[in-house]
Amino acid sequence: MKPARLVLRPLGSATWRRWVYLVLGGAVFTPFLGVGAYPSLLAWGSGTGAIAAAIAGGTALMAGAIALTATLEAVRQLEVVAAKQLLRGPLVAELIPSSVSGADRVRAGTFFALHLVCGGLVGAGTIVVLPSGVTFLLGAIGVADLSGESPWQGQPPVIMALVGLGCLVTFAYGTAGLGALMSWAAPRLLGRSSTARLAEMERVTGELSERNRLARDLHDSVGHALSVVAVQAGAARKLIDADPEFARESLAAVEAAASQALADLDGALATLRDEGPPGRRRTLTDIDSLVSQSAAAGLVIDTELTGPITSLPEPLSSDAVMVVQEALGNALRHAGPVPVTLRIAVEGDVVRLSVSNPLPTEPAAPRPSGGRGLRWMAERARSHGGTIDAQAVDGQWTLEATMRVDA
Amino acid sequence: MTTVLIVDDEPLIRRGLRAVVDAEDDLEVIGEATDGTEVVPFARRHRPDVVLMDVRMPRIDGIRATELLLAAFDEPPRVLVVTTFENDEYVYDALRAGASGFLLKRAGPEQVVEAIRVVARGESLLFPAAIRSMAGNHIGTPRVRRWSLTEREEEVLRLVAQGASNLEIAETLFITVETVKTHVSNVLAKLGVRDRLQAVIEAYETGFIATR
Repeated sequence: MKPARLVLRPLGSATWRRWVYLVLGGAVFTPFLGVGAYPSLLAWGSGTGAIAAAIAGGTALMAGAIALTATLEAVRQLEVVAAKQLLRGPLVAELIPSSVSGADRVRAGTFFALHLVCGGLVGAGTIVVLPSGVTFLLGAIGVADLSGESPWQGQPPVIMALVGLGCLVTFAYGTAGLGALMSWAAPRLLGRSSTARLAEMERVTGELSERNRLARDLHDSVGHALSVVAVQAGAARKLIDADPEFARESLAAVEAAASQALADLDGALATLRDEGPPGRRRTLTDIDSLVSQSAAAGLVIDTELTGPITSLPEPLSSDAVMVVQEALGNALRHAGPVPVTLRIAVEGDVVRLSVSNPLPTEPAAPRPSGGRGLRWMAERARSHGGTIDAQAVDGQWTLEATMRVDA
Repeated sequence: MTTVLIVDDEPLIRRGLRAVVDAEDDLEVIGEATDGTEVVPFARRHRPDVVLMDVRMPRIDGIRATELLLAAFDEPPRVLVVTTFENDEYVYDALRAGASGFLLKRAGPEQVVEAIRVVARGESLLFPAAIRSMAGNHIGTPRVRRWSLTEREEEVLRLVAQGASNLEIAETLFITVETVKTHVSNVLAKLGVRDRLQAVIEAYETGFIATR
């Protein structure tokens, strides 16, 4: 059952659709063939050398004409439509670039040339092999008379039947094979290049992790604060008569948590608005603008950058800059406008970040938080095979992070 | 008197929950913990009946703490997971780890104390729709089913997954509550689970009930 299906499949409707596609290519090939044959016509009857030169020149002329046609943008678009409709196969699911680079044109042109050559073969098969097969079969049953000069004249009918069948089978499977070849080549030559695919993948992953980060930020900050609001307000409502003092404290906590949530929401929305179109995420190349922003907010930043910090891969660079941003934000929130030492060093495949600032002189006002930023930074570092270390030594708060390029 | 331990890294949440619980005559908060590391030692000393467990905490989170707690006792305290968001993957993991139910932080004080009473009685707190959607988000390919039930037991399990009480199941199937109880305990035994909530999770994870 299964082997039978395998044998019969090339004779299915897909092959006949692809045959249409291929003979179209063959038809387009014909005028080019005419151009290529023209020098040989001129040299007809001259010496062998002249004919050989004419054939070589004709072939070059034909190849040039095909190449010139192949790079036309309209031809590429036509090929995409024809291949999608008639070849179908994996190209159908492929994202076709609307604007193309020079390399894309060369690939599309190669596909066009391949279409013409395979189409020429199938066209010739349709004109020569297919009718020959039929003629042999008719000859075998004595309906057709093979011409007198033919070496097949007088052959036993069995031989003629076999040859006839052979022609038909060769034609059918040849067409199916070339159709399959074109269908296989289509996404590779008409689809996006591997560079484009990679860039697309990076963009999507970047966008996803960006969205995940925002979701987590909102979950952590606003969700957390609103939980406090809900629990404290519920408690206050329940106890307002029995313990007014408790209720008053609860309402103060509600007030503080709600304004904290608003501040966090403000920050998150600002990030959403600042993000701009995808692919324009802030990376370590933008460290200067981050530093000057933080300086405008009151921090006095001593920056030291060592190593090739601008040549890091995008996801790592972007996370690194966000860790720095978070650390600078923390310094500002907890210690106020203080001097901050920022060190970023790239040594081999390791990125080291260090942000150091004096501890606040008076203890910070209690606020609903609890190392969320730190937890987030640790997650970012861990996703790049690194760690976060934060500690207070001699009145100085230092955050150190490592990340690895190859992780 | 039902004794309660509150585990949450946010002092303001602990303070609010404590006030709500302590205002009830039959409930008493006997302690607070700021993360999962303190839960088992505290439970050994004071044997709370119910633990209100936050999920996302530094060091040992609510999932791990639930696992540790259930492993440490023959008759462990009931764990009620307290969460900010319903569709939190951590909540589902905590339920799988053996929590008796979950409670949203935004639920009002009345629901909080009611939920504590329900799990203290040894019942599960089932939110059928929420469990279904959490299971749906969580399950890839269903696990192999290593149990088989009678037709009646299958009906009972389906009704349990819809959140039906024993009485409702009895009325639906025209059998007595006592018979329902027998079926339910047979189902729990065959599935190798501790309570109804675990049975429902098992039913979803083995594809016995489709999640969508």
